[in-house]
Amino acid sequence: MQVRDLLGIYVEWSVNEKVAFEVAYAAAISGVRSLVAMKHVGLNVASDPLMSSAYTGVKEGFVIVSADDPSMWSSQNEQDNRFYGLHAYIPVFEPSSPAEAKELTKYSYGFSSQFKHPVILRITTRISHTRAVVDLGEVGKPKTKGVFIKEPRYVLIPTNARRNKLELVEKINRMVKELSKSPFNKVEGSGGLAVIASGIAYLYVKEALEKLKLGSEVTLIKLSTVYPIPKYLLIDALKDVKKVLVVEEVDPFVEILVRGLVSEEGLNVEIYGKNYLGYPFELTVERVYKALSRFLNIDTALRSEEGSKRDLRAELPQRPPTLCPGCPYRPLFYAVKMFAIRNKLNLVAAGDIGCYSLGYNPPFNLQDIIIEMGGGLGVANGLAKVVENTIITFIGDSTFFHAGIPPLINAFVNRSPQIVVILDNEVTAMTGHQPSPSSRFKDRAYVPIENVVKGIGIRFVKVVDPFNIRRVMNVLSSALEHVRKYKEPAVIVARRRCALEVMRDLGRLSLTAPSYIIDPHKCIACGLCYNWFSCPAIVPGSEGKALIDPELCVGCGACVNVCPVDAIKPSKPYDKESIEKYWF
Amino acid sequence: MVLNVVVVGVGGQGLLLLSRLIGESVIASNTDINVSVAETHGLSQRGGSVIVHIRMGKEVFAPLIPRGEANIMLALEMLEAARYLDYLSRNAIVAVNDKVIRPIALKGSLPSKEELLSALKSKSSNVYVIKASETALALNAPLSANMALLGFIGYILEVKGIIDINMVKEIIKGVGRGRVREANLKLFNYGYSAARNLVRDDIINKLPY
Repeated sequence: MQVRDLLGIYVEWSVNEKVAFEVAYAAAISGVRSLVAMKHVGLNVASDPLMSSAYTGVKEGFVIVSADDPSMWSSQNEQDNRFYGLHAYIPVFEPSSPAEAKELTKYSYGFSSQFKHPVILRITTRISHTRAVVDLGEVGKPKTKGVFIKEPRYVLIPTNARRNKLELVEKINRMVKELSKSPFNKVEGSGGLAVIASGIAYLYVKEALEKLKLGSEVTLIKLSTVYPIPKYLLIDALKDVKKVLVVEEVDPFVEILVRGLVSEEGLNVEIYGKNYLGYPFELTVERVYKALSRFLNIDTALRSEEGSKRDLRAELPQRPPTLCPGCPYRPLFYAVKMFAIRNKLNLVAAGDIGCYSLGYNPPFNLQDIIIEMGGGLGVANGLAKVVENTIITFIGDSTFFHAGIPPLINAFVNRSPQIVVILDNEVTAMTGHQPSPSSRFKDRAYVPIENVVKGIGIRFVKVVDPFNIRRVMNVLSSALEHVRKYKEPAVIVARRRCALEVMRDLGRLSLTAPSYIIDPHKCIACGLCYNWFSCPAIVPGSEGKALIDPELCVGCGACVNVCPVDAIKPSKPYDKESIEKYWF
Repeated sequence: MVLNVVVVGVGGQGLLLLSRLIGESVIASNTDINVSVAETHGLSQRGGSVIVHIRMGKEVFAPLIPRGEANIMLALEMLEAARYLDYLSRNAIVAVNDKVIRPIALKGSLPSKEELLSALKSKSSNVYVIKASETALALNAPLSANMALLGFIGYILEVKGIIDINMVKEIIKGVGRGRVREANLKLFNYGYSAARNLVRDDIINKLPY
């Protein structure tokens, strides 16, 4: 049973962040509390309605959860979305732990309802990706139906927007007073040396102070509401302080605001922050410990810095992430690579964001540009106009629906010659198998990608099974011909289900495909399967002959089409038909 | 004091499930011990190198374990065990699956099992090799190797009074179905016995929490 059904609330995976934002906003202006969650770069996509939402305000609680990714564990940048709050006149709250994330969400709803204004809840990787004990407490019956009352404030024509802006400035000033009393900010300890810790930085500071055997000798100011800065709380907490260190994740957001405050109020406080902690990447206990030691003038080394100086890790082979065994994208990339080599093509591969980003790695090296979701197709439009290379674009199904349709239409109407490969595994695989508009899930309508492409008017549209390497290469050949002859885009939809989805479905039915084996008498040790196809389950054995690791092999059989001497076969006979149908 | 556990291996080996089950076991055993499990999803999950940080104690602060402070390492793969060596405190307990997974598009040579083991042993005299993958494969449940390491740490945490082993077994019964569920329990028992036979109680008693 899902929480949605338990509470009777409405939940959806929207097609992109902008749409998600608008869906949730609509509820909030109709008197129904709502929440929209996305990663930091998602808020860029939703930034247009975000800006406007502050001008119109809302009727009931509206919480925007932005998960920032310091260290870029799975992102293209580490932008600090607290600046969106400053930029848009929207308060920003920042929890220090998973348990506080829940408490602060509840508080955010109350605050948002009170001020009839959206709230940004900014969390970072270690809040989002940490499991810890959270006490749920009482869950009330939520209100799920509302009324939209027509008011000029929702119509942002200049006269109304100007009136709203005046209200907005006044609202922010009222919030400062309220937030200076927020129970989520607190001052611990005392003394002339102070540390301001925002969000999760508070936990790192607590642990570092414990290691330094310091506690109440330092004034520790925990901030969980960072914009607008709780001015009156800080003026009071800093009145006897000589030096303050601001510890926060990513950019010097609180630091800049505190500098402003100190200057405005004429306080005699020296401010330290990123000059001691450094700018890039996520915080660690060690990093905070070093900055604190320097700030407090304590000379001490950490246990980890003693001991062996020899860095063993430098000598170990790297293990970059890779496409899973059974992934339909592997044979597709293999076919494109072989096609490019055979035809001596000087390809520029405009890539995009999804599992297929992994095509950047050797041996494929088929992602030359990755900037944002939908970016590959857009950039390819320009490349096709200025460079001599053959342009090939890769985009996944959910990324295509997210932001790939406008640049494809642009490519068509402005006649941009490029081969567009849409990789359709019918799910948003990289982020954990959320439905895509191309997913054939029950209770959802679905959109076959080729219908969209044909609807645009594009003349070359072919659907292929990526496991059929020979056919993929033939289709690539005719697509190239089309692009060269007509100077317009040609689209190939490579469709086969994500292997993880297939394995899960087979598991539920207690079905398994046997792993595959190599016939050592037939194998000629050419290395095509382990060097070029590069399935993690296939490794070189003695004399360069291939071996299949039965622990990793999922029995997809994709490698069979790669072997030039037919040396790969199932470890035992099975009814291939009965398994094969789950792949489509 | 906090007991720090790092769980390392290759994405797809079931590290996240293993880590989640450890966390749930601590909570279900209903002591006054708190637990946090910090993991990294996304790109690292796809056959890449993965580390999960588990911390347990009366009061747990930062989710990440500082280098040099892990008291226990559970490694599903030997190359990854060596990669995260600098997380170990001196004489940490290391349980390592007897398995090397070759990285794709490997440049240069792959270190031998002996080389990797001796690197681990240079850091700790409490390194235990567990045949988790081999046992799992023999049971025709290759993805259940992680359960052997759950059994291994299960014994240690039981001796420390942090978990109730019957509670853990109940939790495992909720994972998978049919043949896989049976294999899970067998592997759990295999790991549990291995720890009981190999790890002396005085070493366990020295662990903090």
